[in-house]
Amino acid sequence: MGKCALSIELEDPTAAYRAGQKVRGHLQVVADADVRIRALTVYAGWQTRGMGNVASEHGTQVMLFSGELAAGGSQRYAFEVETLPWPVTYNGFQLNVEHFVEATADIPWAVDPKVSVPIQVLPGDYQPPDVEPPRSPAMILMLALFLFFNLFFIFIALSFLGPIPIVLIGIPVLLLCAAGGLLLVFKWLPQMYVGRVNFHLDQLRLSPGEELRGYFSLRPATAIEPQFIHFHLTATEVCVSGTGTNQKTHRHELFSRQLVLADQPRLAANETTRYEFHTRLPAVAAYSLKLTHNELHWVARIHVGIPGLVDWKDELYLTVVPPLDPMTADALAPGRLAAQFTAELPVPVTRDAAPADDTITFAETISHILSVRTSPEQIDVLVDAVAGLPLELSARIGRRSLLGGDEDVLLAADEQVVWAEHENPPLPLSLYIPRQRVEAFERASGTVWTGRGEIVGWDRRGGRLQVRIDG
Amino acid sequence: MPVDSWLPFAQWNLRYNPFGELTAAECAQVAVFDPEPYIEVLRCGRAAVQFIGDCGRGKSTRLLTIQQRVGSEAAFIYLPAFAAVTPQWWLQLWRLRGDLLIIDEAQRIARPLRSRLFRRGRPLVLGTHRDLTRSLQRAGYQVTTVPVGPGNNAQHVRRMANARLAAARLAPGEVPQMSLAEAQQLVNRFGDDLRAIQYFLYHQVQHQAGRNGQMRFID
Repeated sequence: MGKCALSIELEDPTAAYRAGQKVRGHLQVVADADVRIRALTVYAGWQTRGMGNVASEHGTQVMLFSGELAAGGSQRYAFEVETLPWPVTYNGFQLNVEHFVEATADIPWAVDPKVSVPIQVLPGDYQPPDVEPPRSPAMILMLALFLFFNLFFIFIALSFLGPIPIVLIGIPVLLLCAAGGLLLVFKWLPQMYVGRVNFHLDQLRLSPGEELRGYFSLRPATAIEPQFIHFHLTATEVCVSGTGTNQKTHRHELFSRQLVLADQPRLAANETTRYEFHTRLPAVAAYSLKLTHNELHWVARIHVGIPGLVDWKDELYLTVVPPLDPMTADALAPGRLAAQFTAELPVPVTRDAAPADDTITFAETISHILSVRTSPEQIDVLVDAVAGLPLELSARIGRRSLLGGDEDVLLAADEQVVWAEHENPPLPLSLYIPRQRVEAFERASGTVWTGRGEIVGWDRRGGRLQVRIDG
Repeated sequence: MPVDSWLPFAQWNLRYNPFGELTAAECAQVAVFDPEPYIEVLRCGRAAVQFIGDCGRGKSTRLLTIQQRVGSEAAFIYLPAFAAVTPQWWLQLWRLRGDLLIIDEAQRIARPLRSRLFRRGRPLVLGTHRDLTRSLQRAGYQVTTVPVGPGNNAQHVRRMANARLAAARLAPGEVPQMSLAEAQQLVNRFGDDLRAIQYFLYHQVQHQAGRNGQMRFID
């Protein structure tokens, strides 16, 4: 029986490839005995690694050789194969997608030698299709289950009680009542409580780092006071391992962000209350995936806490795809680091009613910024989330900055920047002051000023929070 | 040491987390099990080998290893729950053709079909939770019963873990190794449940992705 050893040498072993790009290299075959090779083939492909059953795909096989090799003979073949367009290389927690170039020799009556080299495949021009949300059980399936349980319980009842005709009517009625009761508790009562609702997202197809905007409105039939109204954005890896009774579904929440839309709000009867929200997807290369037994879901969810009842929930599936600009995609952090972007954010919410007293304070915002100070990306996300909210603040006024409008894009023509220091917790500020108030601020230098302003940005270089002061 | 920074375990010379799910071929490659003695037994005509044990002890791995070793002459079937009352599975089982039949979850073969299938006299490899010796012997089989689980001691766990680590090697060179003391701690905690040990090790290793230092298998 002939044997041979294979090895792959890529033209550039450190290269990262775009999806669909060609990979070039050489395949070396060394025969340690006379061997007849039916087919020496090379191909690119991907396979999942992690907690789920392996899903894989191989590209077109390129045949390099067919024939006999003498013992001790060595051959080197140049090859060129194309990487598969989707999915791209992904490193998550319980789901990973590994791309490779693999070669195998088909040898009759022997174990086929194989060699595989991992490669990194980055997003290219290919744009994956929209993700379809998992289907809820079909009506036919539910009816079949209902019938099954009916027959099952009728059989049991007849076995124990004998042929009593009432069983034939009583059991289906009881089961109908039970099903109705479940629907009432889990669906109808929560729905009646919240009234007419509308959960809307401006876009369902986004890229990492992009802003997600939407609103949730409700119009209850009676005055209600829910415990809370939350918006959740989550990315979850769902992997299935094993088969049959050994099958197990593993879920890992890669990313989770909760926005408090309202805390114990009082909502009047027959009045529509609308909560607008916006948040930013984390800048991580964790795209929506739907592979056999391995999926990555991005879900936006509204959760209304109902006192004494089952909570009302609704969800929308997002399709997160690579950015159109490949350079932006390359700069994203690996998916497994998504949890580091999970900092719970303050309330980036506007409501058409007057804002509640419990919205975030300026000091709390600064505390959040200080807690993520080492990560400029997270500060940007945080600042974006609170930008535009009118906030009360106190700061010790410093000197006027000499920076001009050409050095600071936020600076309007009729404004000047005055430096200040927030004292508790301490953080340097750049205050954008309307020209007519600059003199007053200069006179107040060294004293603590209290007033109203809105956060407009974060100066990464100076480590200063940029705040526009009301005219 | 390889410098493929996009591979989260490259600093340990590993291509991927070794304790994830594997393909059937990879599973057979890392199995700490020598199929040869059983293949020899199966060559002796009307012979059956049954692996008996609880879930997660290594029955399916043994069946896959035998299948990979025998190759295309072996036919493999996994019987899901309710296969005994599902005509579709009766049909699939009846159509199973091969010089060697490998049946996982063989206790789910419907009783009438079982006797007919066994009467065919093909060499059989069974993974089962219930001892099928009497049915097999009635059909004239020479039965070899292998309990799976009692042998899953610290030594076995260590070999299993190190085989997986070796299979995940990224480039020629050393990879982390599990010590006997670590394997003993795993056995003390999970008993002979290899699947539970594998899941635990997956999480343990995954939490160290992208970090430096020695790989830790136990906290």
